[in-house]
Amino acid sequence: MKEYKYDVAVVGAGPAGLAAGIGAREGGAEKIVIIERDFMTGGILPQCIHNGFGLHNFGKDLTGPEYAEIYAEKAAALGVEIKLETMVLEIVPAKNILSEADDAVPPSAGLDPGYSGRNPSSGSTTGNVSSSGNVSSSGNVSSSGNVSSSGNVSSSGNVSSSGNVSTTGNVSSSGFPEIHTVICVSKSEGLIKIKAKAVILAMGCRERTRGNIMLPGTRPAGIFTAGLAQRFTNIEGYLPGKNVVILGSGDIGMIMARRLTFEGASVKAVVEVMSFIGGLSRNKVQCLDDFNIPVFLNHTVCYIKGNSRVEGVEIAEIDDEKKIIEGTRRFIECDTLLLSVGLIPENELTEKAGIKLDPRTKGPEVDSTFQTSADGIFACGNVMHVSDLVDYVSEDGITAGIAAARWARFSGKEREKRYPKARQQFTPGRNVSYIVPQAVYTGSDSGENSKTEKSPFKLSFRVTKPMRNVKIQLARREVILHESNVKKIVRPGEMEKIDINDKLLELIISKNDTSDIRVEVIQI
Amino acid sequence: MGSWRSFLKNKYRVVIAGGGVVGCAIARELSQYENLSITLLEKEDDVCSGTSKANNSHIVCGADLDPSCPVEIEMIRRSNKRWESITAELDVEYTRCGSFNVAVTESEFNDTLPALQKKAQSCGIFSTRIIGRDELLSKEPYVNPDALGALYAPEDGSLLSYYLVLALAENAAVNGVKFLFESEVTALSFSQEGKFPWTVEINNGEKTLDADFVINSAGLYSDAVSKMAGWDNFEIRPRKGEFWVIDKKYSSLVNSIVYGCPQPDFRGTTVVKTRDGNLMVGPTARDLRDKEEKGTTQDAMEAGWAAAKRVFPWLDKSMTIHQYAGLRARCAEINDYIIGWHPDGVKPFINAAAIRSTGISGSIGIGEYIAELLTERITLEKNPLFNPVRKKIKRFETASWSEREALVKENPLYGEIICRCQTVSKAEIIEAIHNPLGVVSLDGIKRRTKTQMGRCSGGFCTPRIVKIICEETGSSPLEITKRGRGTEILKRETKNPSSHCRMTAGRSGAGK
Amino acid sequence: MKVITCITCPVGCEITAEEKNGRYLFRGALCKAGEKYAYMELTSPERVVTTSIRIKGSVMPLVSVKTSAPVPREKIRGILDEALKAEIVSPVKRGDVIISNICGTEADLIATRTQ
Repeated sequence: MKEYKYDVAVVGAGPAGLAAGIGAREGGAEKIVIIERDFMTGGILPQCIHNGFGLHNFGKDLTGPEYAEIYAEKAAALGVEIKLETMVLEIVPAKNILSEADDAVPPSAGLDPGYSGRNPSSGSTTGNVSSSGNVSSSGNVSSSGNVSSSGNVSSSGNVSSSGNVSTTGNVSSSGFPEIHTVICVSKSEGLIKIKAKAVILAMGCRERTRGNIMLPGTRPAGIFTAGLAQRFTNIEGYLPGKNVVILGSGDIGMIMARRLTFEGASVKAVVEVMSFIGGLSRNKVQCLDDFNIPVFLNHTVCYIKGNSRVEGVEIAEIDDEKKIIEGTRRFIECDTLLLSVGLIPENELTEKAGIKLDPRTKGPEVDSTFQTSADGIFACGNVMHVSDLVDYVSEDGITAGIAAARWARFSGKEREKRYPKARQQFTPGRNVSYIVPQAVYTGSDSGENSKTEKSPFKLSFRVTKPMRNVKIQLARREVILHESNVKKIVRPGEMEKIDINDKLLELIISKNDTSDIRVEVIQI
Repeated sequence: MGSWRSFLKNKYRVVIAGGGVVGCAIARELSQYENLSITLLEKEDDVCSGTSKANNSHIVCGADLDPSCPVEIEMIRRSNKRWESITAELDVEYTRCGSFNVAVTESEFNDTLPALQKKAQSCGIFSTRIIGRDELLSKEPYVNPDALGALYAPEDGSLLSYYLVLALAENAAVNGVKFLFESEVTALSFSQEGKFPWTVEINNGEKTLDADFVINSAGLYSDAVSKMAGWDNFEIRPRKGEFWVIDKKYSSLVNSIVYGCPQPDFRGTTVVKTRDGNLMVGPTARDLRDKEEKGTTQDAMEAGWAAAKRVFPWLDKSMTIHQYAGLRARCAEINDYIIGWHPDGVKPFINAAAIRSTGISGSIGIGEYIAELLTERITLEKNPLFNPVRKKIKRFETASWSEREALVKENPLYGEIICRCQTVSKAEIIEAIHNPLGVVSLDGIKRRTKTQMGRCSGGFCTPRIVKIICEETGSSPLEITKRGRGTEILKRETKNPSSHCRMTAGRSGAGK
Repeated sequence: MKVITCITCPVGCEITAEEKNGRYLFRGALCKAGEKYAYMELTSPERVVTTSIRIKGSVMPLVSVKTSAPVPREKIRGILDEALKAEIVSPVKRGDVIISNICGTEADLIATRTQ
């Protein structure tokens, strides 16, 4: 297997990965590679031909392809190497002896030192397992044995409380991980190994499917996720349907309603389970209202009809418990159903590498440098949590890139000092569904001379429901550490951010009390 | 194929109606005889398009059958002896993993399990054992901790039905069986004059074939085909089963086939680990009249999951990646398979009808038995060139690292990964497109490669597969179907002015 | 009476507009910008139009395009018709003008990617 060495390797050349590559250069890394499975960069952006990108970062109203090209050009200008049509098969973290229960886990992610023909997929499974077999969606493993949707399983049934599976990898004398291995395949080079001091996960997300939401009915042609329909319409040049119903009022769904209308299709309805529009109000106005496309809030598709092609869908109103209200069923004739029912971070490689996921974000748990539970492996963009604006994805990419470059620069004792084990955790409190990052380094040397990697950062979070006139609080036990000004409105579709500046950081990092800090949204 | 077999245009020794597991097992069995020219008619665009594709991959040894169904028991007994050899010949993954009927209450343990064991014995299966909690937990560690024990049937096994059916069909095709798809038998006429007594009408007269023998393996429609031959004393009443496929990441939580104790009316919901490493929950059971009623329903889902959670309480609906429903071809009047010559003693017509939920398990035996039936009327001559061996497409995902290196070296397209969820390469997709049966629909490629079957359900790879099919076959994307005619996935080009409908004035904001 | 959802900021005020003697009365806007937006939406709503056109000699059959500035909403249909007829030959660069002053809007239809 051919082998390459880099300071920083980035998995994925979408907006997050491109920004991470740029950030890594800004952070001083010399050899940087972005590994991309497609034949072009940009991830999903080339098919997002609508405008609305870059308002936040550039103050310009750009389309997806423009936004992607600007970042790709910048990465190229900075000498960031991009390997196209190269698929990452596995990320093997360097051995991480910091995690205590490591030895309890047998080698499982599948690589023998000599690649001696072992089956790479056998034995590497995910999900923490115990012998009594309960599953908790919150995902911690207890000694009595819960199964979590994140974390690791070894096929022999051992449990690691830290969630790290390690295999081979070089271990430096100080005990810190030195190098990770990213195994890839491409048709031009075959199998290759990319060795990197730091790895950045930027695999993005995927769409939830009919299977995920268990939509009843037949299985005809004409059911597409919104993104798939977008690809066919905008890239391949084919219209997937003429009479269309869209389930889900997320941004992609609304944008596709307009796209398909532009291409001559008739969008019969947008059906939304929640009592509010899932995406940005800008999109509701410009994509639905402009074309008089009806929206059915508090409704769901309860049956798909048609054996060969979709013939129509039955929709119905639902109550607070998401149960169908009988007597409200109605049939809408259509030949196509588009699903815009949410995005899920694409973390198969992450889980295989034994990196801990947050069941709320469905992405890796990260600290304020976007480092995951595996030392030297960072994450950014939608693989970490699904953002509403690509601008935030790029911002996070830069942060992760800089952090990865710094990690790659330090080693031994220096690294130990900068990346202490002690962390302050954040948890979502009232009306908050998740927070990123989930922790910040505290370290024992806080203060002026502190070397720990805990520069000011932003806490990103989403609310659970739309609310008006609220304050955002940071609280530890009963103590409110920070309270924002009144916000007129917060919505689940739009991410909220709190600036954690130096002053606030001092407050947050307390030697006396390390219990979790809650992020809460309070009605006033 | 070779000169050893005389093909007359549209004239065949044997016509098989229906390309499910039963039809394909018969075709494969008969393809080893030199003096038979065989065609198989299938109304869908591929084999394994009906009942055979929708099941839980449990291969029963006969331990849970109804002792009053001698034909079913015999067919399964015959099959049971041949699984290891046939799956080795056809390169189909199979394991005799055993099955468990788990008891979670005292009465289930003390009454139900012994009753089940007794039933197994009266079906001729003496290998079952009642095991205690400890042994159960050693074999299935994540079963309900309240379980008291189980009936263990070590001879039960597991394989993925569509892999078996595809393998049977491909091997039959290579050995000379002709497959006609989108060809529904709509009438049979019998005449004792001339060499070919049967005239088989296809698609209401679109085409006709002549045949010496007609074998009916039409599954849900086996009653209709039988009626065309004048054998009409039974009716197929479909029984719907719904299934849920669980994300692969939970696959280590189940090792084999685990049932609860039977419910009054059916064997009960199982959790099976398939040969692909997915877990499957199901089936439920509901009797229907409509043979096309294949939709999944909310009610069944609730019932099915409740039953499955009795065995594995950690199961959660959020783990599902796919769901589907299948209809089993169960007969209303006769509580058994219906296999045999036409009862008039004259017509060269054989029924392999009413092959219900155990059909996969019985299929190999049915093929064998039907060959025996044929020898009652003609002498079968072995074809010396018969090739029993079929090789599946080499998969990148399951290959070891060294095998992967070799695969890419030999064919660089193994290095171009098209399906990211299941790690399927372009090489595999191209090989699937050129399959011996000539099936190029998306579902056909799905079953042959596992693309579109993963977590994203084809959201990512579908456009790429469409492109590859077009490159390989010269078709337009507009011709690509999900599963044969009427299921085209795309409507028209977006930027072809001649086919473009303008944005309708009333709907646009223009002019408001 | 018309209801307009303001998109100036995330609050998304629902602004009711009533016309009296050629003047508009707005209710429900929390700020002046909202009233201004509502007035624009009522009198001369503008949108950036994005779509795609055919391209020859590229790996992909289409190239994405947009209007270089917001255009009156009633021009959308005409612009889409022009885009449907247009076809260019590769290469094209991001920002290249495909159709200048499209439909008399003073905005150009420009390519949004290089291919």
